[in-house]
Amino acid sequence: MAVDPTKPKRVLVIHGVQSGADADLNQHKLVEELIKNRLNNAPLRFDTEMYRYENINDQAQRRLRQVFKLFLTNIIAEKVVDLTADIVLDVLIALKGDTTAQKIRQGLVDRLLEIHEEGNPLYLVAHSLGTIYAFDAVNQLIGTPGLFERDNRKSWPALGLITLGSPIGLRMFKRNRVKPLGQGGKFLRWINYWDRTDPVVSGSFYGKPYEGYIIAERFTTESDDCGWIIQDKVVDVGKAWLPAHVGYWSHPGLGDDLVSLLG
Amino acid sequence: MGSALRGLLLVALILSGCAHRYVYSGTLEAPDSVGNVSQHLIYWNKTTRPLWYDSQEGSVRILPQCSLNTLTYDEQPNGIIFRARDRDKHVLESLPDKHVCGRILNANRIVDLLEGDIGVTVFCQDAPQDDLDSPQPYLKAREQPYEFPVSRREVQDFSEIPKRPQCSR
Repeated sequence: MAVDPTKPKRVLVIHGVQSGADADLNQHKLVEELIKNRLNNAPLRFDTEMYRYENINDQAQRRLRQVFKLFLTNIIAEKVVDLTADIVLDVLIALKGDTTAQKIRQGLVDRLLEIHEEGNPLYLVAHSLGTIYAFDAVNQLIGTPGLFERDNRKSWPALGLITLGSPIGLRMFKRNRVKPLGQGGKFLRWINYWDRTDPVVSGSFYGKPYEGYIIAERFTTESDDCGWIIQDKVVDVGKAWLPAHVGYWSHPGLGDDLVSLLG
Repeated sequence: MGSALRGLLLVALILSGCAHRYVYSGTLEAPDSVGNVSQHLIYWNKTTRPLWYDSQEGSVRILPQCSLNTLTYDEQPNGIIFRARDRDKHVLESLPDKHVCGRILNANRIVDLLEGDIGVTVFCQDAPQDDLDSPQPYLKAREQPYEFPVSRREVQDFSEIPKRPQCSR
């Protein structure tokens, strides 16, 4: 199956660290709203959907979180500890890369292949921890026979990767290179957006601004067979620290860039 | 620990609330690479905070009318630069760096850009890679800079950033 340019563009949104359950996650609606808003009535056929994995995380964490509850009698303390455990354990699962992380990644790979079968040109928009799964999924598919042939973009299950507030530059995630597409003249675009005060990007708990210019661009290689165009883009979402980390979804600059990428 | 986290969140929200947000924008009528004269909107945004770090968008954007393209001039160590993408073709042979499709001429950092006339160069034109890309023309490449008249206004939040000029063709 090949990508069909006559079909509507599809944006697959991958969430990050979350509390709650899959049913609570609807960031794809925010992306849809943002794109429509910035299109300003210009015509573009597209749709959005979510890849949700919070229930997989919650299932893997259930026993440990039940143990925590045994030590708490105050309902407020119980809620706070449970929320904190939910978030921290999501990160640990991704860091450890064990069977739960593999299940999440494989679920995303499977969904990418299903959409590719359907023929819709696909773009990934991933936030926070979800950027690690998106990055891994795309790199896993590169090198698969019949997929990501450098000069045949119709064989590409993803035509672009957008990452928002990604911790991928932090050493603890141990990612530092993209997988090359091979010789040719077409390029896969990865645009990494970050707010300077976003603590998930900088690793600074106090939101000290990250002063550099590049994070994801370090992942490229100079060789001709790399096949990726990677660009870091700093955004100012008008909020600081954790509110900045969740403020990307409505940022007009990001919306205008998405319109351009899909258009 | 829970109350400490709530306290930190509250402080962050209060500090965010004290911020002053500014949008810089302006429009210019000029021909695009296929010869159509249309409007082109330029904008960027900044935030100042009395009690915390100031911040500014890392890119100046130009949105053409009747095209879905977005040109981004990104702040880099060597200036504010429109970096070539996969579908930007360099058309000015006299310029050596094929990775640079244009520059903002007034400053090397976005924090130093003020309202007034902003000089912008464009050296590339849109060149779709294949039929998965639709044509997205933008400001016609030329060696002389374009001058955008830019004004600043304070906004409640950045949803007030002006939108792409509507197409009337």
